[in-house]
Amino acid sequence: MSSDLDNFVGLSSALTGIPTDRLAPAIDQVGLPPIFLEFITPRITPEVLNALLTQYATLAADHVPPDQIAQAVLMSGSRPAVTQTAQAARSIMKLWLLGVWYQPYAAGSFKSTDSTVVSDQAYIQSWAWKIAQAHPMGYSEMFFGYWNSTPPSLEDYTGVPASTQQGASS
Amino acid sequence: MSTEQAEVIIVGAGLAGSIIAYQLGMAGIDVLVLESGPEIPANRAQYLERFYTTTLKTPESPYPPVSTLDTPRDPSQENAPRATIADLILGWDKPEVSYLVQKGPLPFNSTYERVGGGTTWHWVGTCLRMVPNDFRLKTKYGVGVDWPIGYDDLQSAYCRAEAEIGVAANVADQAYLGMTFPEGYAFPMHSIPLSLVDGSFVTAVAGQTFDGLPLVVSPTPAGRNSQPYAGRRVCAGNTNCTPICPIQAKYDATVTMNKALSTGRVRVLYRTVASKVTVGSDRNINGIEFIQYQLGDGPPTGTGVAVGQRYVIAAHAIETPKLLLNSTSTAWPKGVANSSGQVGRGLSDHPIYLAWGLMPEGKTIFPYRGPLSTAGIESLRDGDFRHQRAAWRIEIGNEGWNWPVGDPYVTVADFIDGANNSGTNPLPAKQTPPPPNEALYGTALIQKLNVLFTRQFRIAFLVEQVEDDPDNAKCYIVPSADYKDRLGIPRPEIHYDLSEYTKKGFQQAKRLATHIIKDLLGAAELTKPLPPGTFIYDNEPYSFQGAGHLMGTYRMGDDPAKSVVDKFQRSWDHKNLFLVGDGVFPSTGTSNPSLTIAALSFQAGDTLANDLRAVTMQVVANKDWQGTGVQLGGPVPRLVRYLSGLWCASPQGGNVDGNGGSRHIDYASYALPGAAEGALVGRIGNNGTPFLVGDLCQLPDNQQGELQLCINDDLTGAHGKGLTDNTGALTVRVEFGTV
Amino acid sequence: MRMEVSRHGPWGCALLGVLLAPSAGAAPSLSPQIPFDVTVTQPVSLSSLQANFDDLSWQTFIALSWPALDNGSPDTGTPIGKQDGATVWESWKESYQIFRAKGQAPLPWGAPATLPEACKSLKPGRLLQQMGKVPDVLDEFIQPFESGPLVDQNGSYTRNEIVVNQSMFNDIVDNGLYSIEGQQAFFAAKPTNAVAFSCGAAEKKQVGAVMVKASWKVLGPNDRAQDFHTVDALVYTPGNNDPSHGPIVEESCKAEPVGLVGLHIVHKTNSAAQWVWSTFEHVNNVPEKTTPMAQRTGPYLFYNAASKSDINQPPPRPWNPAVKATPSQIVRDIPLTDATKTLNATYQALLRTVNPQSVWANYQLISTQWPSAPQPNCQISAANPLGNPAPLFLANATLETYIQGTTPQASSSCMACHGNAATHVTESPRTSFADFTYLLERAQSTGATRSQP
Repeated sequence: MSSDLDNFVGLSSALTGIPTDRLAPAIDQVGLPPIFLEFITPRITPEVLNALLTQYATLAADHVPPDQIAQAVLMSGSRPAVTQTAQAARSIMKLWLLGVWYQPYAAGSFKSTDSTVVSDQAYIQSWAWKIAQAHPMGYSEMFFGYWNSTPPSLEDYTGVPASTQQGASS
Repeated sequence: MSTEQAEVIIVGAGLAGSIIAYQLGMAGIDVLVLESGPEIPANRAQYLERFYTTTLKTPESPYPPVSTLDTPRDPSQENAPRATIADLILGWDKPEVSYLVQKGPLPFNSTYERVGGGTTWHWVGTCLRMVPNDFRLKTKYGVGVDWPIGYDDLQSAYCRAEAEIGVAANVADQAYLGMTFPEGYAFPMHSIPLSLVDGSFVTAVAGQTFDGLPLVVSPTPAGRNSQPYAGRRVCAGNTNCTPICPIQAKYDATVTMNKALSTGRVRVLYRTVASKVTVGSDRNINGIEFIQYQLGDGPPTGTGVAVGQRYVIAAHAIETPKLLLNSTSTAWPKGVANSSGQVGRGLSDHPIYLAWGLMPEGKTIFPYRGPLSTAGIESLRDGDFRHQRAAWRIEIGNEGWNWPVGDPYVTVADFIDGANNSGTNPLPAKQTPPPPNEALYGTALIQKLNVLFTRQFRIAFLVEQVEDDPDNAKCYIVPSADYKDRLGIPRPEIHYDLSEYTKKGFQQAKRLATHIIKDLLGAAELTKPLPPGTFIYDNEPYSFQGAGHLMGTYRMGDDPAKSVVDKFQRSWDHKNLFLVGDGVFPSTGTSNPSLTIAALSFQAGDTLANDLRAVTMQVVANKDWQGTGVQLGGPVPRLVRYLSGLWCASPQGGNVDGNGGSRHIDYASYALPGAAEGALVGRIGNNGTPFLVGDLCQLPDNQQGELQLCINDDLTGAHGKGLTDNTGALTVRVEFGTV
Repeated sequence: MRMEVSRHGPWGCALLGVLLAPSAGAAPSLSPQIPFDVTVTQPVSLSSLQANFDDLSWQTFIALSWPALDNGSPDTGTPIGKQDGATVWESWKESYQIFRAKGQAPLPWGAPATLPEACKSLKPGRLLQQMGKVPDVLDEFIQPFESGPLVDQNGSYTRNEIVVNQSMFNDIVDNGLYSIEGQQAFFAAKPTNAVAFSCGAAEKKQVGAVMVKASWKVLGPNDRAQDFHTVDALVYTPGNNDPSHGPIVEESCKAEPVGLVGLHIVHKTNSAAQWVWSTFEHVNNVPEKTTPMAQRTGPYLFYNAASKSDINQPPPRPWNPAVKATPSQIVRDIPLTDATKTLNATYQALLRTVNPQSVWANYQLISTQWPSAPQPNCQISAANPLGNPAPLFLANATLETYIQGTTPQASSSCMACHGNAATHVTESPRTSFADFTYLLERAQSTGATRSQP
């Protein structure tokens, strides 16, 4: 029986496309998944969180592929769904990719226009930059002159290979 | 009301103030710096943490006072407020939120900092010199105003500035458009490698021209370590120069201020806002009043006056004229230093034409890597076209669409939400109806974002701003009659517009941008006007961004009726007052101003040090080595200058000045065998090797000891009368500075 | 040198040839043998690995602090701490003996240290010259100090030094890295040449490159020398009149007894291409920030409950070690974990079994930083160059005094900061890479090329 944390990680992976062992590695010295889960719970409300994780867990138990899980959570036909679970899911995607929590709807004292960087670690670990084969602006672990060479591949950075359709080199 | 005293009072602990404080401290002069903002911190953790955790990552985002969008601040409740991007977003023309009380017609959209270390905390680090014609626009092109100095006058000061800042560049790349360098000169560090983004421009513009001039991509000289230098780290490509370099690989003025403090002669009072400059009946400045505070939005904690023999105002191009114009009195109704009426006039920026695009499919260039900018197209900074329209330089950005669009945030949100704020969801398409916005997830989302991010680029044209009628400037700052800060000091009221000349420059910029993006790079252009700085010119819409280069508000000149300071940056009206920083620029050129600010600050420092410590003395012809009392051996450059007088080493030689006569005598008993008889020669310490001084000489910097001078003659009388038949004396001055 | 391999380190899958100790969870022991690499115990978790590396730190500390024979080898005939005396690491080559004026070649490993003129007339002692550090950058450079000297309760500055073991010394000397021209020649000689110090390997019983940085306090009449590992030192201040190179000071040399207050040990092993970073302090240095004021009984070496000074602020400039300064008021920003405190107590008790007054029982491990996502074969991943340092931040209160905290890049993290270390030859990432040591920046020019400040 998977915990809320496991389901949250699995859901996040299905939504964002980042493999689970990168979002939540076995040895994790940063530990964002539990921090994120705790952060979002009051902000999307425990009820919506529960519904979202249950939706995910049910589909996962049925071995539905991640893309289809994401579609079920996010979409209404070919357009983004407007349910609270879908809105919350989209905020979760942005949280992982940008380190910023965009409040999806008013809840408790949280206003629907609120946005906040969850923490400095959330920012420097955010995935949009790795997806760009780069690094967050203001946080580089690279060595002098690296910008003159081609970066490691998208797959090295995210576990997802680059699109081959548009002849993109990496 | 307390009184603080020092030999020199400096207002502002930024680039100019720090350089001058350092030089004066090294010259043994006591300095007091008044800084309106808070202390230089022991480390940059608090600033950096603020940057990491703010959603509005503007240039000023790390620094106090905090500026955010969701709780807009009220500048009337702040003790040391300054212009911010948040102000521009929330309402540039709303004084309830905007520190600058902007009257338009166009918004002035550049910002600055008021903290120890100043705006160099957030500058990009670009260290371009001005080109020679920038100093003589009027003479050469019939527009603008000439400087009272030229490029050559700044040569050695530029070299000193480059050493202090630590500039990485190669001379071979920088000797264009008339810029020259001393023989054998090498920048402190080698050039920073180009980025992959730059590489695509290099390929695209090879062999191309515009307006009859070649398009050449040049590495940008930068105050950013490409080698370990002065104890700082090499650049790690954090792509964050603006707003803050996490590892101080980029120079900021705290480096120089810390050196100033290490002389033991410099003191800084932080959170100390200069409020009024007072003038005595002798027309000299006799004090600068200040108000102190502890909390940025708390009550004042004290008042005082700073008294010195010399005063330097280095508060940048808006706060300096604000202070001067706030210092009216019965004797000086137009404010301090303002007989010409030009204080506050000619407020300039480098308004920026920002263009951006997406490389064609398959042509990845991998932005968001490396310094914010490593190269530019500088080859159009000057040319005959300047008769008609403003020049510009092109800065190639390495940070993708972060600036024009707000990426990666906007594009990420677009493809999650199914929106199109970035203009890429879909890309401008020819079909009607256009394809629908995509909302993606999973692998498809990652791949789509990757394919877009890796092809983004932006270029910025920094356009020269020239008034159509420079003596009656349309752009100016005056103190607001209605709005004050929390200390009760009137805030700056800004009037700003772009001249026809400048707008014509924009038009050409737009043309070239599209040509480079579409024709030469084969890319898709997504440029569109970005509020609030928008205007129409020739029926086309434009927008301009601020470069953060406020300049021009107390210009230097040859004519006291039309300028505020002379070419030494000394006020025409008050002999003991110096105004420094880029407010002295009579014209903007197209280069980022910091390097020129630094160079001019070194010169101002020399002038001040000489005012207070130059040694004028007589060297008599009939004595041998005479001590000057000047101890040499530190890093401070000094020179000897002949002022007046003649002396005589021999009846045959006759009366000569420091250059001596035409006889060259090679006896060992001469002070400097082989040099001209009667020449002025020097040595450092009793055992120093003699060297020729002549009428003007840069003193050697690698020996320790007292400077001694004497006439080049037979010192021992081994070959005749020696010194005993010598007559006359020279008056010389041992000065700070470089020839 | 860098390989594009999976970022999933080997810890999760117990591979890598890393020792799985047959006596799993090897008990602490007093041994003069420097461990070759970490011993991983099962089951593997973040905290178990931290414990394994902390054990590595203590075992290394003990081996390096072992009393040494004249030739620098540990004196296996005597247990550590029975008497205080010269340690193994004190026989290693000091940085100022490697990176010499005009880029001169270092003397051979066994040659005695050459002293500055100002010290030659004094009675023999260990030369200490370095003070404090650069604010955002740790002072591993030629400049002696650029931010924040640490001032003890007697108003005296602490002094630092750096030594390297013979493996690292040989790599520097053999490759000519001790001068700027030597570095240039090394990189030009072959397009694949890169700085890569030796990796400790358990199966080869090989100790890798080790560098040690020590901080010392001058012992005054009120200091209890018996509480410290002490050394007779020559406290040397090089003269300087150019603020670009550090504070303006006159040259001086004074013979003083000094006590050890901080020790960094950095060891490169097969499991850690980014090196293993261990740091120890004297137990009396500072209180923890989280300790309530009333419980900060001390007495501390760098904190005084009665002082009104601001916490963790460097003294105002100018800094002159010849002038008595206001004592620094320092607290530890990140407290030791309970696990570390327990481990420290265990080792301190063990040390006391040799001698209840063992000076070495007055030292404690602060923590160990290690790469939690290492690559096999001591390689560095281009996509993840630091290998996920754990813990994220680590500071020694005597060596990273003023940059303690948890702000990425601004607060002390051994690997994050040392990842910025460079050589003097910064033409490309290959030539810039200095393998996590700032020492190579100390190389001076022979004069054959233009040198830089």
